[in-house]
Amino acid sequence: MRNLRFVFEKKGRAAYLSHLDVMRTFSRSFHRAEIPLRYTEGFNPHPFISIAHPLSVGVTGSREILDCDVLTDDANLIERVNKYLPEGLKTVQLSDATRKVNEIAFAKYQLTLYYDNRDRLLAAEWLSSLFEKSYIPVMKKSKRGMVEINLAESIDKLKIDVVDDAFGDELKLSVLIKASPAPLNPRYLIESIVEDDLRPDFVRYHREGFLDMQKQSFV
Amino acid sequence: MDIKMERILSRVEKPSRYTGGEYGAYVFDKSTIDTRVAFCFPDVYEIGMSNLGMKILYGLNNQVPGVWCERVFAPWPDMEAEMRSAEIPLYGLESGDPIKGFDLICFTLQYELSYTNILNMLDLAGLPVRSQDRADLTPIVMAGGTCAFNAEPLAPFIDLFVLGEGEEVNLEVLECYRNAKRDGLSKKEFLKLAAKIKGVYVPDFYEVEYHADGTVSSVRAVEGAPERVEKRIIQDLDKVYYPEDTVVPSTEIVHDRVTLELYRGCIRGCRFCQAGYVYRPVRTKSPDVLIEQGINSCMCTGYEEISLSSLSTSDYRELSKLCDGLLDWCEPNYVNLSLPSLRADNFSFELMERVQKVRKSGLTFAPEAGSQRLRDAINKNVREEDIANTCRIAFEGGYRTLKLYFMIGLPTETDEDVIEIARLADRMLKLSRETSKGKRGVKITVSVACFVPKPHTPFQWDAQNTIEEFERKQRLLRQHMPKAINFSWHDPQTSFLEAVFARGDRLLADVLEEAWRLGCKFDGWNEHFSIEKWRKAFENTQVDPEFYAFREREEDEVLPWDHLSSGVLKRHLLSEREAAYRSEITPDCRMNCTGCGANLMLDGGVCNA
Repeated sequence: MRNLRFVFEKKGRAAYLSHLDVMRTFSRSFHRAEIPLRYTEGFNPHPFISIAHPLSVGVTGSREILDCDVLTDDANLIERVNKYLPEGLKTVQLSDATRKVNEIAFAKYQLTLYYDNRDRLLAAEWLSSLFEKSYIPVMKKSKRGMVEINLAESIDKLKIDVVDDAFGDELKLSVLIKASPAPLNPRYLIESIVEDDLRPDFVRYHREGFLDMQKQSFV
Repeated sequence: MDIKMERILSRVEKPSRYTGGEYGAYVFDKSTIDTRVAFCFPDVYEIGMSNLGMKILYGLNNQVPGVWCERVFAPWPDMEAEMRSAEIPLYGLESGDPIKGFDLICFTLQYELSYTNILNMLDLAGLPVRSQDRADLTPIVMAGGTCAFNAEPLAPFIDLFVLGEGEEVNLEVLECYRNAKRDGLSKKEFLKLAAKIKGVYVPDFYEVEYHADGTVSSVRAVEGAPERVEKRIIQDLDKVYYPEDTVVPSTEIVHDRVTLELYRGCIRGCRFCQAGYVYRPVRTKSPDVLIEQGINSCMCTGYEEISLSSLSTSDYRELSKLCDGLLDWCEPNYVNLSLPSLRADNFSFELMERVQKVRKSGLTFAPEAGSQRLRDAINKNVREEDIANTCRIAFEGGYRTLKLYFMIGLPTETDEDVIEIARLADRMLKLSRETSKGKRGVKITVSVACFVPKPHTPFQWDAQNTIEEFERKQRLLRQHMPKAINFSWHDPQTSFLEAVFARGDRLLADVLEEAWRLGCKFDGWNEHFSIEKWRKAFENTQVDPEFYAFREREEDEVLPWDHLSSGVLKRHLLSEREAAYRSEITPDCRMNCTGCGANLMLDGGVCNA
């Protein structure tokens, strides 16, 4: 038995899959590839599969983490699994799951903000100053209803780039979001923008990967 | 994915319904393709993807070199609004290409309340809804499925229907179309050729005339079309195409598993059941073929469950052998086997216990009627003792839920029959209390539907109960139903509309189009069904819906679907109707052949029920 760590990308049409969808899809891909898995014992056996900090529906990722217990010594599992995954899901790296996922300290996100026919340079300036504040209030849903949290406590190394590309009306925002005590959904960054003129018309969310306390790549 | 679609998908519910890209979907290089087919299911993705017929025809079409068949589902109204405002036409899930330019657009007709979705999907595709307004050979709009046996309300919208099982006739129509396209034929020339294929019904080639009272006086075939369209059947189910490598949805759907079809047809002859009549004669698949297909399907798809499908699983002769063969493979591979549609007898219960070692899913029975007298009248061959015996063993064995399904408004029903539903539920409740002493109580659910008389059944002449009558019977049941029973009932308004269209004629096409223009869609979904809009549609078109739902037909009346044959003789339906009114049962096909006529469709003419 090996406890393996599949590093996978989730992009394109697969971006719209939920956490449970991704779990189910991987599990079925293992079946199709005839890779034997370790199952739980008990009345309703299911394979040992877990995904660290699952992505929300619509969010893409380059280096997502799935751990599972397999009962084979085959070294060629990446190709075997990838052959049976649907479009948009792909294993990019495979290793033993030695590091504990609770060593993940940050998630690195890139947000693309679209300002349709608006002055993105002005927006970039304003947003830079907004995210520099030491107290950025945002309302977050909790078990006890809506509570105000300070976004500034959860973000690190926020950087805004004005990129020149075909559209010419987008900003790239890269940021580290603390993974503990609870990973914060990056959409709160956008929700913290109260000024209507600064709110983008559309935001694309992408997670580049996970970092540890030393801000080194986790896998 | 383009940014326009990306933005839309970020705003709609369940966006993965609209993306495609699942494992097992057919994607071809367009340069190798000369014929594009859209298989359209007029409901949402999760429903359509659960349908075995869709999987079969999708897989089958894609085996033909040069043909690319794609899946299309009805977008939920949030997505529809986005598509309309962004001017995105209805597209195939595989290629994302608009289906307007496809060659064949095929709809499956599963239930009457999906008809408005068909018009809506044609419109979303950018096509005129009426056949006469689509002049060209491309695209041809065709439809098949259970409701095709009374296709009349859809006649002006659909170019051709196929009756019966689709595996052979669909390929024949496809071939006929490709030849017509190659030879540069007109739409009418193609339809004339297609009408010669057995099982094909081109509604435009039938002229319907009416009496002054609104009933049909005659249906006349023109342009060389056959007077009567006979349905198609597959002679040998062991040899017919079965899709082992189906599309595996990444997102959850209603029936997310391998489905094995044990047999087609049904030996029981329940008089209310359209499926039991139109899928005759009984033809069986052999256990060896099923076991092989089941295992291969699981290996191809990675599914973790196999479900056995048929109208009455317990009636499959070699069920034990089949289950043993499947379990030998399933158990070591962590694959579950599920057996729906079991009868209430000891054999079935023991089998279920053996198969479902893990999850005690609960018991479900459909006695349909409360009293033995009425169960005899509808030929529902189940006795209360059988249900009680099975329940006793099950409750003692730890089962904690029981669901009972009934109908009200069945022909010959009296108030006493209705109240008997509540009494039967009460007796099961008492039984559960006796047998589960000291344990957690049993949750009993009683669900009561409103009977809809269907064409091609012995009750095709009978009146449906009025809405007031249904509501009165529901009140009566509420008064008598024990408080501990979880009691639910259907909305009589939707059953009324279903009854209108089930036995409707071509005059209903105007109503359908008007209702759709008024905004009716997803009529089978409570949150979208609007009886007010439908009432307005009937008013605007001056069609009386009660004429279709509440009127008892004369036995010699020309019925709008008389020229569409299920293979069962009208004479047989009449004699079954008479037996119903005498509360007499008819033994099942295995005990005694009733001479229904469906056997004549088999090579050799002998039915092996």
